[in-house]
Amino acid sequence: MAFPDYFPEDCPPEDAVPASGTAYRLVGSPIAVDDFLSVRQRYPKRSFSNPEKECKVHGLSVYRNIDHAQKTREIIPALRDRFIGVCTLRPEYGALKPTPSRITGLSHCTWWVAVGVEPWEFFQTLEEQ
Amino acid sequence: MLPESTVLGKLSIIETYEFYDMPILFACRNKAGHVYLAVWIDRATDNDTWLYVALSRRRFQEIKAGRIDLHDAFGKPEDELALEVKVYFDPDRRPEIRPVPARDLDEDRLPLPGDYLDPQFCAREDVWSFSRSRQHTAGFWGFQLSFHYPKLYSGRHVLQEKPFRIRYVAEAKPFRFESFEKLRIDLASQASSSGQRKTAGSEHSWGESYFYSLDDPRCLELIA
Repeated sequence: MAFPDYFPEDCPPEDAVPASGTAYRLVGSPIAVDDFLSVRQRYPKRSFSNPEKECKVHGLSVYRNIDHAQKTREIIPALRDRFIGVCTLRPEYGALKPTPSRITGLSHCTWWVAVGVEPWEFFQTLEEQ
Repeated sequence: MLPESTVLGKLSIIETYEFYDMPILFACRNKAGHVYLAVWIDRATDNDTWLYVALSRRRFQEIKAGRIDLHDAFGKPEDELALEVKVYFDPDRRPEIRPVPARDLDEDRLPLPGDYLDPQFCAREDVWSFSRSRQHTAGFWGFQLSFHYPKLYSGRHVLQEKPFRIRYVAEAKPFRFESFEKLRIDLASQASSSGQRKTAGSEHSWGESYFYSLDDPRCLELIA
C-alpha cells in the first residue's frame, strides 16, 4: 500500500492496520473533495510540535459509532451543518488506527488515505439534517 | 491552529477534549499562565474561527468535573466576554481577534446545551481539592487532612465514586519518621482505626477529613 509522497517518514505509524469496517465522517452535501482534505493540506505551511502530531494531521478523523459523529456535531459549532457520511472501508483504502478522543472515546480513529483513493467517490450521505 | 503573536500570548494546548482532524475543543495556556477554553466555531476557504473564553482555576475545574456544561462554559464566560479568533491557513496572515460580549454571543456558535466534558477522563489531581493544615489536638501536634471532590458525572448520570489512596512521599520528607518502612502506607484504609473521620456530602460533592498524629503533612500526596 502506498501513501502520498508528502507524508512524513514513519507515517502512518507502525501500529496502524489496513482499513476495514464501517466508518462515519462528517461531510457536506453533496459530498466533495474538500470534505476529505487533511489538516496538513489545509494548513500547508504550519508546523506541528512533534512527529506524532505531524503524522496525525496527515490523516482524517472517522468514527466507528454513528452516535459519536452526532455528538461531535452537537458540540462543535463549525461542524453543526455537516451531514453524516458513511462507507465500508477496505484494506486498499489505507491504514487505520484507533486514536481515542476524550468525549467520543474509542470510536475515534485516524485514517491515512492511500495514494489514488478518492473517498468522495464511495462515501455516502446517511441522512439529511 | 493556535493564533501566534497576538494579545493572547504564546499559547500551547494543555488538554484536548475533542479531536477531529485537529484539536477542535481544548484548553490552552499562555506563558503567563492564563488558561483559555477554545472551540472551533466556523470554517471558511482560507481560515478557521475559534471561540475562546478565559477561565479561572476554579471554573476550569468545574467544567472538567462536569458541573458546567459546554454550552454555559462558552455562553456564560466569567468575564462576560468571549473572543472570536480567526486563524488563517497562511501563517503569514495575522490572526484576527474580536471581543464578543456574552450577551451578543450567537447560539449557533455555541455547543448545544447538555453536553459535558466526561470527568472520567479528567486528571484526578484536577478534580480533587486537597488541603492540609497543622493542628494541635488532644495534646499533640498533628495535621488535618481534608479532601473534597465532586461526584463524577457523565451527562446526568452519576458515575461510581472512585477510590482514593494517599501515600507518603519519601523525597519530600526524608529521615524524619522512624516508621519509614511505611513509605507507601495507605492512610485512607487505616482511617477508621488511626484517624478521626468526618464525612459530609451534598448534591454535587462529598468530602472527608482525617486527623493524624504526624508532624508534617507535606510528605503526603494523592495517588490514583
